[in-house]
Amino acid sequence: MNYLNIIVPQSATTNTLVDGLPITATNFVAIGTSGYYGVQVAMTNSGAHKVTSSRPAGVEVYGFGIYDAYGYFGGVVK
Amino acid sequence: MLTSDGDPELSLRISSPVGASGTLTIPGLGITNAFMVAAGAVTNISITSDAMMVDYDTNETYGIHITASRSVSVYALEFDRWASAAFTGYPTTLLGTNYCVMAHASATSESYDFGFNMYSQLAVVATADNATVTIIPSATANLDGQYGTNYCSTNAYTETLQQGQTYQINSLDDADDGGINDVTGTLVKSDKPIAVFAGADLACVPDDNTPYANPLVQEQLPVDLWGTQALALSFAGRTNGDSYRVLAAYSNTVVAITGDIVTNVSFEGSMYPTVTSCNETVMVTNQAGQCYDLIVIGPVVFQASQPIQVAHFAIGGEYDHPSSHEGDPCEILLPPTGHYLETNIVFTLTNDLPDKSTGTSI
Repeated sequence: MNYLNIIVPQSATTNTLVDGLPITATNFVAIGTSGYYGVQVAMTNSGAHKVTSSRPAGVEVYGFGIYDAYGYFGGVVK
Repeated sequence: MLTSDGDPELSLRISSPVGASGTLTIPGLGITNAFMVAAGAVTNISITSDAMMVDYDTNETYGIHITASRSVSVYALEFDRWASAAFTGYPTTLLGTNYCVMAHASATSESYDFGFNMYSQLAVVATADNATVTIIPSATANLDGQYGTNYCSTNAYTETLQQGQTYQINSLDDADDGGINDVTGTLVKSDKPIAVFAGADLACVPDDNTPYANPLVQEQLPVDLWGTQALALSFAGRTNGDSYRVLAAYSNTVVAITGDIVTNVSFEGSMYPTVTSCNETVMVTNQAGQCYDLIVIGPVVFQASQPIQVAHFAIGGEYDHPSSHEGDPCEILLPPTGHYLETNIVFTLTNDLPDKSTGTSI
């Protein structure tokens, strides 16, 4: 299975979309008292995926198979 | 690409929110490849395994240079049945001249006798001619130089690289020196911007007691892009938690780690571990180049007094799924909080990753 872990400021939890579809805000969990919230999203289709949000989003992309795994971060800005 | 055992399919995945055209060159192999990427799409470019660095402690010409008309993201994938890995390639504007390496020890030949050596390793790519690269090995690196040379001390040494040249160095294999070697904490400095990559060609996470091994590799962020806070959430399906490594660039860095922290793991009498955890804040003080490892379940906050780099590792699959064998180690370097992209165009693999043909599991 393949997944995205998405981390956004609390204000963006109601305005974060994966492939144009909103993430249910109640699926987000608080990352401690950082003011950021995170969610795990299972990706059923392979290939390109677009994550958009009203605020910059931290995105971990990863997948697990039998005896295998891969993972990387969506991107970094200064 | 770092050395890999096996027969991997190498590719670069290039994406753009707005669409772009560009060129990929590997001057050392005479390869020039024009590419287009549509808005919101990912272009997949296969890379010959000839671009893989197979030698060590010598200058090679395997640097891959990508230019594009608009901003793109570049992801590298090594897809190899039971031994895949990926990393994010940073733009030259993010590169620097001062790196403190985050890597991992390799699996040991004592635990995993595959008939070949396994290494903790790092690699450097120069972006400009006559880059003088200084490498200061960490106390655990025990770098293995060619021709009888080795760099098992922490004495600095230098390499001069031309644009596009690459330099890879491995730790000694445990079979050679009887120790568990790890290039983590090695300093790589240069008078011109360089790209640095590090990991291990096969590693067990957190250690050999938790099968099985998988390659780990991530491009490194220069120290000036490290921050004082990093955040993460457990990988899905990994209910017993993930392994994290916190690395400090400066001495007396105090790190507060808050989350459901695993305090004990026991495999006694069962293939399923008994995991004990506690919601708490752990305070850690790291010296320069020193790292601290722990396992956390669910959300976690790393808050530090000085810049840190945090790596998020998936633990060996048997830790959570000893019956299905789903999962293996992987590594993701976490950028500091807030240094995130506005729009992420990413790719995922097919859900049958990997196929389940016959072969030897690693």
